[in-house]
Amino acid sequence: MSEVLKVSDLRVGFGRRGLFGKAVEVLHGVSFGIAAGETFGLVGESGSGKTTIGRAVLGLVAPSAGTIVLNGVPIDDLRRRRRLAREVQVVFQDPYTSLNPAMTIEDILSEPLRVHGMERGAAARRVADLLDRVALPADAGRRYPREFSGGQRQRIAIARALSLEPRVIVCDEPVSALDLSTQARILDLLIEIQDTLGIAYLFISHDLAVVRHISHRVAVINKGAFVETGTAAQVTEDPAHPYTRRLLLAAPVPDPARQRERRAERHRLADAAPA
Amino acid sequence: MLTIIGKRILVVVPMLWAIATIAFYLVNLIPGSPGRTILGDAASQQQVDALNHQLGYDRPLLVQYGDWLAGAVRGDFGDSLQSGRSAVGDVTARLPITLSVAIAATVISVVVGVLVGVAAANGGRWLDRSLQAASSVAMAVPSFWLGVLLVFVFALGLKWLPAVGYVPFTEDPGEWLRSIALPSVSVAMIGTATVSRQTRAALIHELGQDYIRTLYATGVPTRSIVLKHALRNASTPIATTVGFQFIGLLGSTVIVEQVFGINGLGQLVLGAVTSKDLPLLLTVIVLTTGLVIAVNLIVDLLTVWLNPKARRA
Amino acid sequence: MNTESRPRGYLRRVIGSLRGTLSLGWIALVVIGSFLAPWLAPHDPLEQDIDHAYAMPSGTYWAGTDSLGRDILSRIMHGGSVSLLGAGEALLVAVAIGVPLGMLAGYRGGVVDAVLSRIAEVVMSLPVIVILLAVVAVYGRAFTITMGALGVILSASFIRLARATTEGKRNELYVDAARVSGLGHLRIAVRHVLPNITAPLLIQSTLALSSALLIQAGLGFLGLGPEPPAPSWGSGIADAAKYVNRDGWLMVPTGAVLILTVLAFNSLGDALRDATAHAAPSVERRRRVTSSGGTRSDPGHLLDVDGLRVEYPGRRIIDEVTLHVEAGEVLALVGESGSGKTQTAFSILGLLAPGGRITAGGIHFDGSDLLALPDKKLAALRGTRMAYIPQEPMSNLDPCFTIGSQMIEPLVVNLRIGRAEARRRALALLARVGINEPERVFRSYPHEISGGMAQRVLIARAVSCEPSLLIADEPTTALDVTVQAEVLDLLRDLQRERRMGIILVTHDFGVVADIADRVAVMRNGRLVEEGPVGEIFASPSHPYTKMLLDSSLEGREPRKELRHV
Repeated sequence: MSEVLKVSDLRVGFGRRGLFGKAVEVLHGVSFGIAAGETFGLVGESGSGKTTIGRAVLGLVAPSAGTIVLNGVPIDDLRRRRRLAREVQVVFQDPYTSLNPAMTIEDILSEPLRVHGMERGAAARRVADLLDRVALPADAGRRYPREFSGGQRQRIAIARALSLEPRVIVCDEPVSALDLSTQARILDLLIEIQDTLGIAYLFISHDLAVVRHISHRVAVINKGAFVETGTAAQVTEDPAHPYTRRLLLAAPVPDPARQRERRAERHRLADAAPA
Repeated sequence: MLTIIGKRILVVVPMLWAIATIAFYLVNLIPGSPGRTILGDAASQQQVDALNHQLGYDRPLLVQYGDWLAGAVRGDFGDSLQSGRSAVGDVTARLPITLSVAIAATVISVVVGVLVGVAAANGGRWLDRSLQAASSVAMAVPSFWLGVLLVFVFALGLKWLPAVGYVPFTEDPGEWLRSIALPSVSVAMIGTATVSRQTRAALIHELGQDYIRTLYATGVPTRSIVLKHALRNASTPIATTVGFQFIGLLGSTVIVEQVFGINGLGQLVLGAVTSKDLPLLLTVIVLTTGLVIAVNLIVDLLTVWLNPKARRA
Repeated sequence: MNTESRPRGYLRRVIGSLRGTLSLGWIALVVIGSFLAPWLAPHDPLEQDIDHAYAMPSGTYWAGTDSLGRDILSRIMHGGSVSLLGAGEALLVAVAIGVPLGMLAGYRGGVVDAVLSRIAEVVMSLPVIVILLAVVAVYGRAFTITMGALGVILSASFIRLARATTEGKRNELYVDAARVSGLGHLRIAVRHVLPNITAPLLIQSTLALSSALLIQAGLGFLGLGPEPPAPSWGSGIADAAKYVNRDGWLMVPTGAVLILTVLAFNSLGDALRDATAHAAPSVERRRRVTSSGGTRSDPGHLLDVDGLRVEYPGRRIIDEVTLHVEAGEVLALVGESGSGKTQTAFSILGLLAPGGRITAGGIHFDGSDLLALPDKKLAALRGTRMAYIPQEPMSNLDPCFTIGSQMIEPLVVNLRIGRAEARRRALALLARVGINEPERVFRSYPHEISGGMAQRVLIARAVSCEPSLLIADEPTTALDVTVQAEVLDLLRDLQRERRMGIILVTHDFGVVADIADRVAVMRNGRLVEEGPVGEIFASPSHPYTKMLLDSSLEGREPRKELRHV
C-alpha cells in the first residue's frame, strides 16, 4: 500500500440557493490514488469540477459522499481534517491574493509552525531554511507580499506549503497566472522539491502542456466525472476518449506548420462527430 | 417582478412586528404609571390606581401587549394620554405637514445631488474640486443652524419668504410652497451633499470599468456613455443612499419644524416627551418606522428594476 | 492588482496629507480646549455680565457674549467636553456591538448572517431622532443613556460594513490557506480578517462621530441636552436662534465650531479613504498630445506606428515602438506582462487610461495622422474604421442593457440607419458569429449568457460597422481552450471574408502560430524584434525571443510513470 492519498467515489453537492433552490451535484463520484513522490495531474475546463476535488481534499468543502483516505486514515469530518493539517498543504493559483497583504513573509511562513507548537527561535530557523529552499534571499522575511513579483510570491506560497512537511500538496493552477518564462521555472522548482522530499502532488490545471510536463499520471475531467486516466504519455499522446482528443487538439502549439495540421485535424474530427 | 414584490413585502411584516414589540416593551418598562402621568403629582395613590384599573394598565404586561398588538393590527394604537383622542388620529393629522417638508427635501436632494454629482465627475478637475469642497462643508452644516440662517437672510432680511408657519396645500398651493421652501432647503442640504458625493463616486467607479472603454471603442458618443450607460449602472448605490438619507431627512424635519414654528410631527413628539405621553410616542415610532420601511421597499424595488442582475433573486 | 498596505505606512500617509493634518489639528485643538476648559477658558461659563449682553468679539470676550452676557467662547469650551464624550461613547458602543456581530455574520454566513442582517436592517429603519426623543421621555435627560442608545442604533451600520468586508475577505485565498494550515476560526478572524478590514471601519468611525455630534446638537437644540444653564453646543445655537433678529452674530461662534468639528471628522474620513488603495480615483480627462511631426508613414500601409513613446506620470512605459499593419494582414503583438503590448494597442485607439500620454512618435492610420486629429474626428473613426475586441468578455458588456440594445446602439450612431434596420443587421451578425439562437441572445442580458457567447457578441459588435482594422487584446485568454479554438477560427474567417487588418495582442505563441502573418515581440516597453511568423519561429534572431520560445512546454518529454518501490 504505497498510496498516501486515496479518494474513492467522491461526490460533492453544493447547497440550495435560497428557499426554493435545488442542490447541484458538481462531482459525480471520482476515484484516484496518489503514491509518495508522485504527481497526479488533473486537467479540465472551467466548471469541470477539478478545483472542487482539490478543495475537498483540503477540507475546504465537505463531500456529500465517498471517502478520502490520507495515509491510511479516513478524513470523515472537517474537524479531523484540521488535525491532519500537517499532512496536506496547498499552493493556490493567484499569487496576489493567496498571501495576506497585512503580514510579513516571516509571519506568513512561521504562523503555521507556531500554531503547531514550534518555538519562536526554531520557527525562525525553519523560515530561513524554507526561503533558501525556494531560492529566495534571506532578507525576504522582513518584507511584505506586495514587494514581490508574481513568480516570487508563488515561491513564498510553496515555502508556506512546505513549512509543515506535508505528505501531499494540492497545487491548484499554481502557474496559470504567471508569465511563460516564470511558469517553467516554478514547475522545475516543484519537480526538484518533489524529487528531494518525495512529496505527492495533486496538480490541477486547465493547461495540458503544463500538466503533462509535471505529472506522472493524468486524469481528464469533464462535467464532474473522469473521462480518461492514464500515464502522462498515454493521455497526451494517444488519448482514448474523444473529449481528450478535442481538448488536446484545441490547444494551439507554437509552430505554424504543425498548428496548421492540427487545426485541419480538429476540423475533421468536429465534422465527423459533431459535439 | 411580482414574485419579488411579494417576497419583499413578506419580509416587511415581521420587521414591523419586531419594531412594534421592541418599542412597546421599551416604552412600558419604565417606573411610574400612565395614571400618575394623567392625574399629576397632586392625585392620591388611590385615584391613580383607580384610573390605571379603569384604563387596563394594571393587567400583566403580556396581556396589555397582546391587546395593544391586536388593536394595532386594526389600526388602533390606543389613546393619547395628553389629548385623550386616538393616537393614530393625532399622528395622521400632523403627518402631511411633516411629510410635505421631508418629501420636498428628498426631491431636492435627489435632483440637485445627482446633477451636482454628474457635473463633478465629468466637468474636469477644478469643477470637481470646488464641488467636492462645497459638499464637504454642506455635509457638516446642521439643518437647524442652516434654518435659522435662512430665516435671518430670506425672511427677516430680504423678506422674500415667510419666517414661520405652514399653509396647507388644500388652502393655497402657492403659499404652501412658499411656506415649506426654507424648511425643505434646510433639511435637504446634508442629503444633497451626500447624494452628490455618492453619485460622483459611483459614476467615477463606473467610468473606470472595462465596458466603458469598450463602448468608447464602438464610437458611441460620450454623452450616451456617461448619461445612459454609466449613470444607469451607478444608480443602484445612489438609490440605496437616497433610501438611507430619508431617515435622516425625517429626523431633521422634526427638529427644523421648531425653527419655522411648523406644527408638525416634531411639536407633537416634543409635547409627548415633556408630558410622558407614551402611547402617543409608541404610535409615532411605529408609524414613522413603517413609513421608512415603505420608502426602503420602494427603493429596493427601484434597484431591482434598474439592475437586471438583481431581478433573478 | 492588490496594493493594500501595512498599517504604519497607511497612517503616515493620512497624517502626511494636507487634509489629514488640518482635520487632525482642528480635532486636537477642540479636544484640548474642551477637556482643559476649567483651566483654559477665559471666563466662568455661567457668569452673567448683563451690562455686556450681546457684545461683539473684543479683548475681554473673544467670541462675544450671549443674551445673558455670558462669554460665548467659554460656553463653547465647556460644552465641548459633553459633546465629545457623548459622541465618543456612542462610537464605542456602536463599534463594540457592531464589529464583532458583523464579523460573525460575514464569516459564518448562513442562518447567523440572515438573522443578524435582518436585525441590522430593522435598526437602520428606525427614525433616530424620534427614538432618542422616546428614550429621553422614558429615562429623562440621562445623557449617558441617550448616547448609549444612539450607539446601539449606529451599531447597525457597523454590522453591515463589518459583515460586507468580512464576507469579501472570507473567500480570499489567504484565508483558505490559513484554514489549510490548521488555524482555528477565531485566530483567522483576528489575525487574517480584522487587519484587512480596519481601514473601512476607521472611515466609518469618523462618519459615526460626526453624525453623533450632529444628532446630539439637534437634541440640545430641542432643549433636551444637558439641563440649562449648563452649556452645550446645541443649546447655544437654540439660544442664538431665539435672539437672531436682535443679534445675528450669536449664530456664528457656536455654529462655526460645530460645523468645523463635523467637517474635520468628515475630512479625516476622506483622508483615510484617500490613503487606502481603494480610493476613488480623482477626476481626470483622457488627454492626448497632438504632435507627430517628422514621423514616417508609408502610403501602402493601413497603419503606421513610428517611434511611439507613452508616459504615465513618473514613468515611461513605451518607447521607440515602430510597427505597421498592411490591409488584410494579421500582426501579432507578443510579450509578457508589463511589456507594453496592451498600452500600444490603446495608444492606437486613443483610449489610454487617464494620466497616460503619447509624448513622442506618430500614428498614421488610413491616410490620417491620428495624433493631429481632433478628439471628435478620432472618435468618429472608432467603431467605423477601427474596432476593438477586449480580453475579458463578461466585464466588457454593460450589465444593465440587453445584448440587442448594445449591438444596435453603435449601428444607429455610426451608420445612421433606423432601429429596425439595425436590429435586422444585429441579428444577422449574431447568426454569423455562430450564435445558434440569435433572437434569444438578442433579448438576453450579459449575465444570462456564457463567456464564450459574450466574446462572440463582442466580436459581432466590433465588426458590425465593417472596420478595416481590428485591434484584439488577448481575445481568447479568458476562454477555455476548446472555445478559444472556435473563436480563433471565427476571427480567421471574418478576417479573410472582410479583408481586415488585425493587431492581435497575446502572450501565447500557440495563438500566434495559429492566426498571425507577422509577429512583433515586445519587452519592457520596447520592440525586440519583428518579422514574418515562419521566420521568427524557425530562427529567432533575438535571445529574448529565443528564450520565450524555449520556455514553451509543448513538445517536451512527459514525465515517466513513477516506478513503485
